[in-house]
Amino acid sequence: MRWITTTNHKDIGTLYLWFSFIMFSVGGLMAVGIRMELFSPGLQVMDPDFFNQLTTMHGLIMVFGAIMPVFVGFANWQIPMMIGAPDMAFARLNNWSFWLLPFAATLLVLSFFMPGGAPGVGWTMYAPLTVQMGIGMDLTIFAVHILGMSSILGSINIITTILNMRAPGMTLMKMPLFVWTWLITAYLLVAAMPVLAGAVTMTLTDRHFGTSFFNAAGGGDPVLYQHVFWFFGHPEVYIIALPGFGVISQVIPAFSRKPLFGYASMVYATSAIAIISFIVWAHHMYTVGMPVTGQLFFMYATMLVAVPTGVKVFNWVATMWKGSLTFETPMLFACGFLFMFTLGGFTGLVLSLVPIDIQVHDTYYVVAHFHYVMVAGALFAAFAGIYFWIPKWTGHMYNETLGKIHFWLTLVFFNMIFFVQHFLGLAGMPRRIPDYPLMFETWNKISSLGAFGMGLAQLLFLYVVIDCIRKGAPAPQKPWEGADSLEWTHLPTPVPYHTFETPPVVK
Amino acid sequence: MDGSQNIPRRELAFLDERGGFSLTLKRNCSNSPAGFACACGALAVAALAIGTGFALAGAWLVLPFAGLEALALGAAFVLYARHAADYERIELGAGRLTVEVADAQRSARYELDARRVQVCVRNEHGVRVVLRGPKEELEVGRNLDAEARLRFAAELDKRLRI
Repeated sequence: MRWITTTNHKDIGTLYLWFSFIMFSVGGLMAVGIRMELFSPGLQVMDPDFFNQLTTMHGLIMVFGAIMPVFVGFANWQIPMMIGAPDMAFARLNNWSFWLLPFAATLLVLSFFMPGGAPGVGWTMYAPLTVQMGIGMDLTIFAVHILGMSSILGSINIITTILNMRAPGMTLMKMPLFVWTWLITAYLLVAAMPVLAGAVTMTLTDRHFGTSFFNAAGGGDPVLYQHVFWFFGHPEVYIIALPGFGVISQVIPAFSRKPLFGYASMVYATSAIAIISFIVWAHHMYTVGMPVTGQLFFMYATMLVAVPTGVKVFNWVATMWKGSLTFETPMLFACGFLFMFTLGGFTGLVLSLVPIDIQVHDTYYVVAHFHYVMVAGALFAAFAGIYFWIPKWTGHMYNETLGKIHFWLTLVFFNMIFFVQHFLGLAGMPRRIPDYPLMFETWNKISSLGAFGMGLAQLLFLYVVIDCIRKGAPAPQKPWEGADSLEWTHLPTPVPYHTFETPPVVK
Repeated sequence: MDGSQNIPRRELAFLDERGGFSLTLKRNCSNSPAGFACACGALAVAALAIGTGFALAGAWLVLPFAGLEALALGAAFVLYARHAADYERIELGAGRLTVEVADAQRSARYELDARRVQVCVRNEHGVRVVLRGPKEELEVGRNLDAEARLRFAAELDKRLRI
């Protein structure tokens, strides 16, 4: 019962993290199913319709069920401790924000068992395909609403907490960068989520209430859906990425034993990325037909994102420069993030160019690009954060050797899956197809083997976490020499159930 | 210095003023209600502006959700900011113990005869400090944590006995 009614930010953080891992496993199993089908040309293990359902649900579950909640879990655990607050501002609301998620996740998974199965429209839920789907589509729409509600409530809570509950002396420009990135992420969520809610509601009314927002037969415009969706969808990319940036900005200085290089510029760069994210949405839809002026605007605006992102990458590298570096597991994941995310950023820059994008639109090049951003960006950052803070949360050290093995396996298998997909995309293999010509077989085989390996490697991660919780060696108050935020300097390990009932004074 | 202290700090300082003392107990709030109103207002305006833009483009169903969200932001502001300026001011001087309490929009002032007041510590739902007079009881120290309440109660009791 404690876990259902708890209003403690640490408990709720733990719930978010476990929920995220469960959804990560479900979404991961779907990915393994997809890669099993794509292991060889021809249809092997599933019919094309089910394949489409898997790709759709894999995307939705990973984005809304795994990656977003894992960073909300970090936010719950860390933000109050990092700013010297006793808890989140609205503790009961925090509990509700979490408990909305399992209902939404259940609806998503239940859609598979509805007549017609889960929607096979892709995670973007493009009209007019959505109008033709079965009842599973309605369940998905309802689930997206609930997930959005949870995100908005969580964001309002985070904004209120950060703005109002900082310890005396903790000015905005003294906040750890993780807190800054979450403040900006929460702003993004509040701005973007009503747009998604509107998009799926219009889909629902088109399906059942005789409207024609997106139905050309009734005078609507399917392209309007794409505008609405991507106005939410592109900021969503940064909603996922920015908290990861925050985690990396805590980890790299700690293992470089140096303060973060260019703190203020990191804050401004994060804000700039957030603002620019609202003016680049149509780079996802160059091929729908738009004026050249529009294409040019969105192309240049998209290229502009590289500037603040470059500032961040430069600052992370500059933080390491001449630092006393050690490479424990969190730092390995941070370095993996740095290399892989930068690569994903570069392919993003390639895709921002209209002439190239028109060639590789909807190919595996795009799949490879966004997985380098989502997996190597967000997931590697999440792993870095878990290994970094788990000693503080549990009071135990994890097994460093196994942690490092987990990193190397994940890195190698990840690149096996996705690096080769660049070649597939450049060669013209479209995404969202269960079958393909023989010429694509080799790279697909490598990619599928990588997916199976990556799935198995995450079982090792689960073992490391459980082993750490159950019988890890006792952790000191500050196991990482260079860590300097309040949770390391002011709180014992493991952190007590209630912390900072009296806020510290920050000098 | 007027004796006011941001109470949830480490030091619980009592200020002597002509043989008595004055202590103001406040919540720790790093932002003024006005500042928080600006932050919430800016967000609500941004969400509504986006919703209006889509309404003009024909996707008007974004706007009601932006409106709902603006309401949620307003509710968050009211819920948090109405208690942001809460305080208790306790003054002892000339044989009178004066307690001024501001709670949301309400403020009240109590005057007690210092010689007839007892400081009671009760362990009901956590540590509670209650001033017990001949006719009334008044809970104080609500902005302190349990440990600070005990210290506060001991110190106040000592002062009342001088």
